[in-house]
Amino acid sequence: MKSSPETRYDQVAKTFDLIRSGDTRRWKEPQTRFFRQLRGKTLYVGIGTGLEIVNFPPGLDMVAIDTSREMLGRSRPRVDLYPGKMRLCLMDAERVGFPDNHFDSILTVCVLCTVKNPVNGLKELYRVLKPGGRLLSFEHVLSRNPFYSIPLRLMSVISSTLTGSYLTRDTVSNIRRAGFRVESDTNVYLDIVKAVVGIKPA
Amino acid sequence: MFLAMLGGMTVGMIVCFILMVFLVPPLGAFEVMIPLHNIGMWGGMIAGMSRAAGISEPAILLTGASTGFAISLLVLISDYGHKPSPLPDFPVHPPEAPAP
Ligand SMILES: C[S@@+](CC[C@H](N)C(=O)[O-])C[C@H]1O[C@@H](n2cnc3c(N)ncnc32)[C@H](O)[C@@H]1O
Repeated sequence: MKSSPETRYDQVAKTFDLIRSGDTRRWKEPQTRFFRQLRGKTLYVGIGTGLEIVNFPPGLDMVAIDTSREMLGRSRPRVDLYPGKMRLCLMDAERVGFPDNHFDSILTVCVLCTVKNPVNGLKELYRVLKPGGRLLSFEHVLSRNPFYSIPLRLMSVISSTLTGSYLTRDTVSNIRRAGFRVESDTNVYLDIVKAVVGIKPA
Repeated sequence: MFLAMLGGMTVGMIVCFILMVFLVPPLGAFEVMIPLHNIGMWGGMIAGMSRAAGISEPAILLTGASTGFAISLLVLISDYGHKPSPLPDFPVHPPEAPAP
């Protein structure tokens, strides 16, 4: 029987922090700079175990969602330490239970690789973002260089089976397809890990 | 020769995959995956062909090590080429009020 992405993350929750420890250390500095753009009421999509909370500016009013109960549970101690407001919700990015034009900014970190239908998910995020608001996406995508894209395609077979995460997505195009205007697209590692800003036109 | 190359590539990639399990947690997923896969693939191919050509073990080892070093260096240089260095101070919207 094939498990759903939610339960797959329930299963990897125990080892997630260990597997991500190298990335967490390497991404601290670029994430801290990038997240400075977050403003006001913020939707944080796919909080996982909350590894990046320490990189957030203080004082935001956040709602953090995830489809994995186990990951949400593990994020709780980090959420409690955040110097601002943060509420946790078990919620799917493809069915966000908030009204239209509700958030000032939205953040995704390594989650658009996992959302089942990323363009649908992004359209839903577009709906709940206020006009003029910003989508900040710190995500990995498929490289355009074949020396890098072959390993990504091979590893994607394994990661999609284990966790439902694909290493082959064209997230920048998906952000555009959902209606956002891409304001900036900055490489963090090669052309694979990117910090992308999308704007919902006012 | 072709079979030796293919065999070498397969063995190289399997070895690198096992190494990845140990190296990803301390060093980061993509920083390990990209160079290691290429080292396994190209290093393995070269080693397989060298062996089929009857080249001595120490020479094969030396070639493997040099290939690994060269690929790591190329990926590192390519990374510097890809990103602005240092990463920009992303614009803040709306602009922050100047400190009093
Ligand atoms: C790779 S983890 C990233 C976690 C965290 N953002 C980080 O970078 O450490 C992906 C997370 O997204 C969650 N996720 C997957 N699909 C989702 C969806 N459709 N809606 C909300 N969260 C989702 C998973 O449960 C998992 O916790």
